[in-house]
Amino acid sequence: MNGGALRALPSLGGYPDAELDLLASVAQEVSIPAGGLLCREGTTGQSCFVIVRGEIDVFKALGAGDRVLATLGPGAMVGQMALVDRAPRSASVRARTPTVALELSREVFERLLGAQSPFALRFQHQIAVAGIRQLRTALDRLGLLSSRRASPAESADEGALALACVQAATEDWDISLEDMENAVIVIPDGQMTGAELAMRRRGR
Amino acid sequence: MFAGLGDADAALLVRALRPRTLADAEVLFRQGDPGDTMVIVATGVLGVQVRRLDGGEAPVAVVSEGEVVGEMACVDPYARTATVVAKGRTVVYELRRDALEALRTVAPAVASAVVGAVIRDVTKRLRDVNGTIEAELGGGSAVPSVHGGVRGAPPTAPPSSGPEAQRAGGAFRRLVDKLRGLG
Repeated sequence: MNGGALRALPSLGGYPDAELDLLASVAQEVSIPAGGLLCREGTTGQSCFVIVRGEIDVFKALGAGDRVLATLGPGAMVGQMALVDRAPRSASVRARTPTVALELSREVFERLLGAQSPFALRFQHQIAVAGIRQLRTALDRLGLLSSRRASPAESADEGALALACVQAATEDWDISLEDMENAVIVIPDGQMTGAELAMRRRGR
Repeated sequence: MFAGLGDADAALLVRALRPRTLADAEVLFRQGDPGDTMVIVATGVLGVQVRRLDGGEAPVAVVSEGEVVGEMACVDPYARTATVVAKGRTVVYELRRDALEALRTVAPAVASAVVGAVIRDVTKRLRDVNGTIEAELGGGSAVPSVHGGVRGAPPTAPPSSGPEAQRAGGAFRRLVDKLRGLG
């Protein structure tokens, strides 16, 4: 894969061509058939993935089975956290369709950062910004979940799913909370889906 | 990471910082104002307070010598989530976002060290949030409480008062020690 194939991905739009070429040369291209796993909940991550083609499901074991928390497409980055932290993966990621991804390992990232590669510095900054935004959103959303307790109408299952969404997002920063349409948040003046919450956040 | 900064790099960081002296009760940030500057306390203490729903102010934290406040806004500008005010005469060093951006070019190791420290602080706070959620998922009816449950801040603080109202600390300690070492 060359850097040009990455140019079209919105998440990498701010990178100069030379840095995209570097990413394409140091990252491993992986092809996953539909149904194949990119990473598994509970294992320690060693790399992050940039989705180039295809769709992935982010899912988490919850109660008796798995729940899909988000479906993501080309340009999505998953598992960036593994580049800066050694905590276990908070969710699993499965290819929904045949998927091509670039895998960047922590070892390579650390080496580039140590050499002060402009790409690595920019990527590090992007990880920091993603983490900060996830933290801000998670704290806001936890506030909503706290206030929601006043509403007895909601089932325990919905509440657990909403919390699982926040949790997965707080660990895998790049899984945007705002992508999680499944998370229904009940607030004092009614119910909101993740998408509605995202709109409200953008509007303020 | 800061321990690995050479004296030349540390000197570049010092040049990027702007010292400022605050009188007692002088406001450094006001909740809701746009923010893009992080602040290191050199001497003195800062009080952190958030607006209550009834319009009053609730103290939620103090920032002591060697601690940092506002570092997330320096990386990603955002409205201040709390008001920060000097408690007694206080000397601080400010690092503005544009100064951090400039460091990326002239002293990439320094910029990377600062961003790395922010990431470590954010990681720790995300874990704290996550621990609260884990307790909630596993523990039945406990109400998730960011302030009461994670950081021990008074329950008067509204949950949306945000991450900068509390101090994770730690990640910047070595930077501050290094600065002190330079005199």
